[in-house]
Amino acid sequence: MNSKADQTISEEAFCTEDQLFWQIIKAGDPKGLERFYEKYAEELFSFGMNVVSEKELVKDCIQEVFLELWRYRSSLNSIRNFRLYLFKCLRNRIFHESAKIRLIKPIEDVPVHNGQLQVEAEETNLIASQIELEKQEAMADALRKLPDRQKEVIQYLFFESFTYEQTSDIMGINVQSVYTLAWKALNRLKKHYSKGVALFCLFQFF
Amino acid sequence: MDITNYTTEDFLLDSSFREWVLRPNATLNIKWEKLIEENPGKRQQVRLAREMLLHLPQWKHQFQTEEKTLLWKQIHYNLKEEQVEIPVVPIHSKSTLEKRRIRKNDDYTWLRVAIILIIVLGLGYFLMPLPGDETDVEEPAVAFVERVTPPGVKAHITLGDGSKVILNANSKLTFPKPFDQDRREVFLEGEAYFEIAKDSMRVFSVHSGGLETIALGTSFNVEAYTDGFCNVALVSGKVIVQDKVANDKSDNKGTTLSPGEMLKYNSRGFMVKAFDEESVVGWTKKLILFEHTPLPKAVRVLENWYGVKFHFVNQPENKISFKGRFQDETLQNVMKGLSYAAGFSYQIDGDRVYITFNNSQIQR
Repeated sequence: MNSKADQTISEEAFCTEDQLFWQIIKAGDPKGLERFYEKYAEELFSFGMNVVSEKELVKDCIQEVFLELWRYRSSLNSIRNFRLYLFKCLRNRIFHESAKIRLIKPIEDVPVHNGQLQVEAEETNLIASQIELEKQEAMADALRKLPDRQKEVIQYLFFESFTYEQTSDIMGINVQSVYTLAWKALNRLKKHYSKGVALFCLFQFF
Repeated sequence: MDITNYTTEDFLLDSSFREWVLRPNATLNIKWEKLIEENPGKRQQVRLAREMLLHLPQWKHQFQTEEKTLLWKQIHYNLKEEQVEIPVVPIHSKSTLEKRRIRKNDDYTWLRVAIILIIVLGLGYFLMPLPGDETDVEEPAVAFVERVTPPGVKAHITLGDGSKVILNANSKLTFPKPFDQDRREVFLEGEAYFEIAKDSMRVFSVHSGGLETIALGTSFNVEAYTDGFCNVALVSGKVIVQDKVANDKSDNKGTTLSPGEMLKYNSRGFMVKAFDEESVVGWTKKLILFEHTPLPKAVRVLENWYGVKFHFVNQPENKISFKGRFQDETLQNVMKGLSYAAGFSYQIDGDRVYITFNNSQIQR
């Protein structure tokens, strides 16, 4: 498959840069860690906020993830994909910390229209019509109604562009389970979405 | 490739399909058009899958540049202080999570103490002198601990005797660990707020910029950023402040301060005056307060507070002092507030702030 080949090449390309940063860290220079931070902090923050909408906790966990990378720089041997590794560490730490304080909030508690949560359309130039907005809202609504695990799997596969293998690594389940979970999630999304759009079209009709 | 059994879900799960919808290219177009042509019955599913994919929201949370920079500063600071158990307080963040961290650190403290005890006892077992040599046992050597805060970062420190110190940004506190049997002595460069644990047997003294402040159980603020200058402000209790140089020459008893009094010291001498508590110790509560504060001092406060460096494009024509009150504000907001009042424009570029005074406007 052509796209897969493309992906592997680009993955290797950005990994080389990460390996360089890692060598700098291994040599005991915080500059390497800073480069990692510069590169991934925003992505990690956004991801963390989607997992638990508690800003201070997310920042705290990001700090711990980077400190740990530094702390274990000599004992960690080789990390093939740092982006994957950082996401995995952050996910585990957030779950660990929120379990301690029982703070984890499912995403449905977050109001959509509070400015922080932007709903971006891929074809903004084309649309802006009411129907498009409704469809977008129907999709966002369907997504909000997913159970946590299904939402999580969609986040990795569709938002963060991780592969099935990488997602299975992050979530600690086998590839087949990732596939099943994702299928269930999409099935639910499809039903909610079709219902939402149908309902809207009905309103249009009257 | 066979899509005869594909459902809408299967299309969505196919990364090649997603690529075609979201980032199409010639190869993918040919491939998928051909596949759909061969399976006309799948048009319905393809259309729905495509629509869902295109309307999938992106949940993005903006990580503010200022917050990002500050968090890195904190991480960087903690890298160096890794081995020491102090919680670091970033200027902006609410203290909601601090309690948890402090508790966690306490856990580690016990673990550390336990490990150290084991090591010491273990070593002691091997190194213990033979019976009879016991009179020779030396007192353990006193180790000095140094805590340094970079600009933009403050630290809460609890000393061995239970005294609490809040070390302001860009400051250094040095103290022996453990304290002596008969006195508690620390050395300060920069600014710190002290809450001294009561211990009637041992005085607590702070050495800073040529002064020694002696206390028993009190809270006070010491500011000694510039060599030869030092301000000691007493909030509660009682302190004695001594000029170290003068003290050596004569039998100078020092100056006793009462709560609400501040001693200002420079190379020419000292004066005691009343002070406004908020403006002196407000920094411990994330408050920046300018009360006719001259430009150089205001710049120093802001540079330390936010970890930035000021650059002046031109000089003001008249002497400028600032007035303003900022509670837990971003640099952007502080600059906005000051620039209106003092007539300058500013530009924040990473950790550099460029100031241009609107001199012509003042003349008019």
